[in-house]
Amino acid sequence: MRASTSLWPLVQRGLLGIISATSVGCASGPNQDTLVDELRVLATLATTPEAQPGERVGLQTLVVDPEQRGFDLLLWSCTFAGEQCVESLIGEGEPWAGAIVAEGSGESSGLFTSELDVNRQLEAFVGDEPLPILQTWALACEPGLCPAVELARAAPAPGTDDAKRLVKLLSDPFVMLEDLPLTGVSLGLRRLSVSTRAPEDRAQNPTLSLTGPGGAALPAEVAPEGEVDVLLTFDGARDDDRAVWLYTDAGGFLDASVGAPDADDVARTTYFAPAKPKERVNLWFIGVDGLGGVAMLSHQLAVSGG
Amino acid sequence: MTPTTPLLLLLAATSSARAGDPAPAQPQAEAPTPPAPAAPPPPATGPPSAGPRLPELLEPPVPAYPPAALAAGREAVVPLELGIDDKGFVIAVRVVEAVGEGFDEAATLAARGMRWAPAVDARGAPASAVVQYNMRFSAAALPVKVLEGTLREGGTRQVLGGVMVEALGPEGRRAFTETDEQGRFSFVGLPPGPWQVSVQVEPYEPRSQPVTLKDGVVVGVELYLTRDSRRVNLTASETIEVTDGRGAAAEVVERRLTADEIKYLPGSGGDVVKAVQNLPGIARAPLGTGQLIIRGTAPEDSLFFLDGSPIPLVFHFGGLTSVLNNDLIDEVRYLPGNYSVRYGRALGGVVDITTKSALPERSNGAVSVDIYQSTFFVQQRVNDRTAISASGRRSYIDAVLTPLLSSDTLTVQAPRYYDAQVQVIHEGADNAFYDVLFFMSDDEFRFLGADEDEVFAAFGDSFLRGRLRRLGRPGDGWQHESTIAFGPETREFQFGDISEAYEKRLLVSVRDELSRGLSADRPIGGRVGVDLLAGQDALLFDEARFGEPEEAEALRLSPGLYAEGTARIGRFTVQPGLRADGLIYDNGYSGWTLDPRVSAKAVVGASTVLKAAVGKYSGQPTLRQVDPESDGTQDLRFPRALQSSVGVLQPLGGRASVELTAFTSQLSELVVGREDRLRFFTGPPPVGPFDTGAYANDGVGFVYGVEGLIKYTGDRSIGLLSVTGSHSQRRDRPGEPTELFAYDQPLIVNGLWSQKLARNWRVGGRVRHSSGNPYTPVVNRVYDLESRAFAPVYGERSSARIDAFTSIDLRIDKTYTFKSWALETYLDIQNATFSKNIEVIGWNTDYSELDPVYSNPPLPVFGFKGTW
Repeated sequence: MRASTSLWPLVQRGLLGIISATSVGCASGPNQDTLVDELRVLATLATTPEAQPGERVGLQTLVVDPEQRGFDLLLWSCTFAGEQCVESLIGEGEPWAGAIVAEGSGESSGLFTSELDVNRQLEAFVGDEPLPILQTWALACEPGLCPAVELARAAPAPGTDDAKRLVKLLSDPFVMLEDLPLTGVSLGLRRLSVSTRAPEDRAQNPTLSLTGPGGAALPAEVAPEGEVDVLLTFDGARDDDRAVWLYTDAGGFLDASVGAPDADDVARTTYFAPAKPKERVNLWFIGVDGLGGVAMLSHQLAVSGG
Repeated sequence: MTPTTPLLLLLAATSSARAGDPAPAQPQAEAPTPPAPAAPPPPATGPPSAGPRLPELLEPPVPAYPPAALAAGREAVVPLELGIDDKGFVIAVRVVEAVGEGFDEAATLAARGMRWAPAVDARGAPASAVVQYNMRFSAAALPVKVLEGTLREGGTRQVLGGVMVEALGPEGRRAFTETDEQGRFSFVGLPPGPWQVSVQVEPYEPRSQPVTLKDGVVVGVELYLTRDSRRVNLTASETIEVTDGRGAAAEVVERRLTADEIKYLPGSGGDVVKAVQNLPGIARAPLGTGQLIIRGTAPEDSLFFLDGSPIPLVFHFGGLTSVLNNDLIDEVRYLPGNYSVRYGRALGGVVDITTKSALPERSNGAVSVDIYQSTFFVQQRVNDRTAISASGRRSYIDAVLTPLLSSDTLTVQAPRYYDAQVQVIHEGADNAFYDVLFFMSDDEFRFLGADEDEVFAAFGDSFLRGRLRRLGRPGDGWQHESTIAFGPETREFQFGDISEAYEKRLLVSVRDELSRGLSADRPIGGRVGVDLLAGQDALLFDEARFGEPEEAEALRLSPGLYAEGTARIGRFTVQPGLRADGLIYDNGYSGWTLDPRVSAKAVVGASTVLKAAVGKYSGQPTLRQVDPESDGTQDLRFPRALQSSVGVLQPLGGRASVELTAFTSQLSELVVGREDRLRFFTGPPPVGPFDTGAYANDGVGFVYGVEGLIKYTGDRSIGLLSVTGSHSQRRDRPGEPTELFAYDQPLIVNGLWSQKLARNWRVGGRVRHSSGNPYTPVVNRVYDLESRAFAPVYGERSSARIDAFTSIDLRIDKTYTFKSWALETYLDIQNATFSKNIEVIGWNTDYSELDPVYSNPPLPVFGFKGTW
């Protein structure tokens, strides 16, 4: 069996990163990893990160299209059982249950809402221990690039070759991506846990609030190459992996993420505006608590004046 | 002393005799000749006079009186037979009846300086002749000493005994003498005037010193000879049969690099061990590390030895510089494959570093300083049979980088390494050589927090070894080698509180070998030996994201037995051998193997050597692979290789040679699996989808290739061109596709040239070209919306290749020789052409484009080395 992950490259890059970072002293400019400059599925927020069998979960998927070239979005879920999706095993030739297609509006970002019905039959397999067996996939493609989108949009009849082909594509997204171009395509994966725990015991999404220094609201305008200090208040479960990830479609943040916030749950960072004026710049803040919970905020400002 | 009247016994040399040829003995007729004439001689090539004429002595000889005989008041007459050419020069001297006490040698030397009017034949033409001459030594008539001196080696002040010194004076007068054991020499009876005192002896540059002799004055002179650096050459010799006192051996390809020969090669920073990487069969290791990637095998499949004992670490930080002082090393033997049964536990090749095993002629030392490190070496003769040496090295990169890289929140202890060696060598009365060596190495690299107890990242690699070695020579060509080495070794890594890993070993190695080499009159040889490793292995690999920690500890016993014979039948030599190896851990694992090997050579024509070999070679699984505590598999077998090679060696005149070798290696029972486990210490950094299955002997592979080596050794230049073409493939599991080996490099070319210039300057260059390693490309990516990281989607395994590596390295040396010491200065520039080569493949964080690790920019190393 072959797996696709290894820590070694991360360790290697970490060491090289330490060396390079220390070689140039403290970084003072924007982190390039915070700039989203191509089509990307940026986040999926579930109404609950830990669902019960039979429960309907609401999903919000954030897609960023900074070049505004337009895109189609294919959303589907996979109840992961061993090495396959349950959805691909139910009825040969049946279309993928719950797969939906949406279209971008031509804006630089879009928030798409969908629902996921958790298979009630999972009651037989899960208990009080949450199992991360639900995979929600979001595939954003520039129009015409992804056969899966076209197949799903065509809603092929059960038993047809197209229906079988669609199931094959969706059941192994890694294989599907091997035949897709690197640019103009973005595939995001979000896992949800399933348990039978009481609602008050289940993992919850954290909350995230956003202010400027001293509790003031973030400004709506910033000068080219200006800086905006950002304070993030994080409320929710504590975990070492808790962090807020920062993104924008112009300029950049000082940090790719701000890690475990201070004792007062306030994390700080700085946004650096681009050199050229821009009518609208999007800032996105994705908080993850390390336990499955996700919070999402956005802010828009104009880069103008001087 | 006065020369006596010569007796002419012969004439009648033929006019056809060539100048320089001693005249053949002819029927002799005794006839007295007069004493040395006072009148000028007729020109040797002057108009012929009628009738034959005997040679006439123009100048009486001025022999040096043997000091001991003079002190004892002895006198003597030495009868000589002199060959005189048709120019009147003495070209052959034979002592007719030796009288001893140094008179014979002194008479011979003096006779060579005699000048005669040549004989004339019946047609009046100058002719060669042979005469007899009685050289008389009479203390009563001893001429006055007019010139004395001492001859030493420049830079070391070592006296040079037994060296001929020539004095060339007015009107072409010549006199000779020889230095005694203390390097002293003297001339007597030379007339006043300007003279040149000259010495010409290898391996030194010719030296000439003008002096002016005066009546009643003894002129003193000290001559210092400078080693002729053009003689410091590279030799990469190949032999099929080694009879160098190590006993019988029959490698199809053995390439030797001697330390003195290669320290000036460009690109290796003067490191004699790293120079091996210029030879055929070795793929280029990424990041300039010293990993041995020999004939398409993994680095861990090849081994480094020190005098036949395995050593855990050869280079500081994987490739910066070797852990042994250059001055301890005699030669580096590189065996890329099909080597003797003396070596085992390796699927690939072997590099055996040989320390010096002879007493130094004198006490000596060296100190070197460059921009990264300093080293020292001192060796002291304790008595006639014993010498002791100490050497060491300390880097100071950290002293510069630590303050540069550290901040208020981070303390960087930049790479720091040091090593030390202490050696005692003794020549026993039993005709045996004893060698006690202690050596150690310590590498460390740490990133600390503001509080130094907070370790952010740390790496350490160290070992300590003690070794006792005895080389006995029972006689009749036999050699008995006994070695025991022992000591701990540790490799450890810590990455904050995220991960910790170490491998520790306490090892005892024992080798006892009896061997007998071939010689001109001994066509049968062989060796039999025991090669034992024992000790304790321990490991820890703890990283949460890799699952449960792996921790294991076990006692280990790895016995090896070997025997081989060598037989020469005419121009054909064959060497069959057999090696048995075992591995036993006290965790329940055990394994055995039996490896037969045979090699042969034949000398064809005048000097062409054909050679061929085939043999089985076995590696051994590691503790991690077999220990139950680390998810090991207890029933693993030894991985093995069936190596075969054929080659031809053709000398091209006396200065060049060409060698061509074709080889194959069929690999089987390779241990594969668990690529998902934390790994820091061995193998290439895994890139691509990983085999997460249990360890198993499922891997197979095949390697084939051709190696070519052309070398040239001239008077003032040396050159080497090595070319390797090869293909190395693997299949990890049955049913999986065959793919290229991670270090497959189809074409490797290394060209070196070093040129000696005037005034002890030397320049050299190295050109390298090697194919890039294959890698598995990333064709797409999935964005993990929780970890906020991209996961790669890989394409076909090993279907892409890194761009080829090219580089030009330069080196300039200048040596200054003083009376008592010498100073070498050098500038070694690697990648002088600013080539931007990819060392390790990598991608940016979203896998949208390659973000590899590139090779260093031009890296000049400037340094000094003083020797005495």
